[in-house]
Amino acid sequence: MIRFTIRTILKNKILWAWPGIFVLFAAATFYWGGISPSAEGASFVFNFGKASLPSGMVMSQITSFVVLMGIIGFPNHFAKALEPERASLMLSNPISRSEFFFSDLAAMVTISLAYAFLSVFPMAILLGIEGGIFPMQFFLTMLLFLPLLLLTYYVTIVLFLILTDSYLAGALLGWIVTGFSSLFLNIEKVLTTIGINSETIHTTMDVLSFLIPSSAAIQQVMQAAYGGGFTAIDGSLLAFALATFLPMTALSYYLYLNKEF
Amino acid sequence: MILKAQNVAKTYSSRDDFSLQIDNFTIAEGSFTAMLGPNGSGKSTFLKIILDLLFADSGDITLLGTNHKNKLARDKVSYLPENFSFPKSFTVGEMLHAFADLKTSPPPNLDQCISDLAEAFNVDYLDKKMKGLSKGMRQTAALMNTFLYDDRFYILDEPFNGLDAVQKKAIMDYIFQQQEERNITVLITTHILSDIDKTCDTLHLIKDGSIINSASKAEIQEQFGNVEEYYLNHFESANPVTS
Repeated sequence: MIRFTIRTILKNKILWAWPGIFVLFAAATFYWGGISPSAEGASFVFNFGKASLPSGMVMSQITSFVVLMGIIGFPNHFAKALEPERASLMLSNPISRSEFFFSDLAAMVTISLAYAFLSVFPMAILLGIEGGIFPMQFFLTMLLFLPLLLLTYYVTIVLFLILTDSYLAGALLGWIVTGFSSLFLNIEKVLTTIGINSETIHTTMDVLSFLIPSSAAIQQVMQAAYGGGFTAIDGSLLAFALATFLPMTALSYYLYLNKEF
Repeated sequence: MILKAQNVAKTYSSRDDFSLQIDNFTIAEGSFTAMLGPNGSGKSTFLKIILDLLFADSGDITLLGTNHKNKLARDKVSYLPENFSFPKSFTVGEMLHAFADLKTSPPPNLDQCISDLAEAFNVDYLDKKMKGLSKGMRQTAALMNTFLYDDRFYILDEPFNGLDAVQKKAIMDYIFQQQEERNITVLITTHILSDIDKTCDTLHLIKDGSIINSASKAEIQEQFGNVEEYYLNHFESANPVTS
């Protein structure tokens, strides 16, 4: 089953733009910029003209492009698989809905890992030749957290694909709702700033923050890891991010099991 | 028994309260059974319930001796839906390989099986992308996907949509050959009555979600002469003669 999904996702040309972005960035830095060790504790900085940009800042910008590619590219095959015309071809085979659902998530993570690896490759060449460095933890951060970040969006998108039966609505709503996770991550500050001190509202918001996969938490973890390596990662933040996957995954799974085609 | 369905009921509140009620429906191994009825009579709905794509409100269905909700029940079943959608960016060959991944045990010599079937079905466009195919070519490609595996039970929903007479004959010949060689069982729905005139052992007429009449080929030939007369007698006549 997973092979079927991987074959389908690999046919999606939009997703090839992901490693493409890294190849272009590496080529551009190679010709017009440079790499040098950071004076402020970050592992290294990118130099473009007179500007020196910390690796964490640059990578977070590239990551937002990758997220955009992922949001457009990854849900496509799941949206198609929800159409009765495709679902009846697939689910009339000896595969259960559980197998389909979890194979899809596994295929998405596998392809993300593959593309992340392809993205590490041009960066490794760039950093090796231009900066004479091989920051292993920087590469591992890309490999581990880029797929995880995309998964936060994908889980929400899958839920909305099932609810709306529409690729566009699913992708848009998934992107918007997951985007709210950054608000929930700082909800205490936000509530205090706008003068809300009610214990009930604070508790409600805390609960809500666990219901949306926290892309914001993953992004904070990534930024910390890009700048200061794995020791800079806040373990509780990472645990929170992983916990937030569960409610929407469980709800999507339940809805998919009960969906008719 | 290949298929046994008892007291299967499903009601759609969204479709003008359409309800399907199949009290007793069986298909014996090696038979060629047709289900006939006007549009919206519940043929496709029943087929989808058999395959657990739609959920019945009540009833028991056994498919190849196993409860139809168990994925193993579909292990030796192939289904061709009336409306299907293959990935458009795949070539026919890629599509057949990809869908083989969904089978528990795809044939080890898949490439040889594909090329044999392509020859039987007059297909010389295995390298063409699905999006570039005509309706008839797409239908043939879908039939190839259905008959690629040595399954026991083939469920075909309007399988000859868009096929010309030559292509239809090639595929029917292949199905007969498979019935002779492997004793396959076929359940077919169609609107083209001439397609099944000489082929079916048993016919079931379905109207408004219920089977209104069932007859064997011999009974139809004796009483009505051909399937078309049998069909028209039940759907056109105010007082149909029952077999």
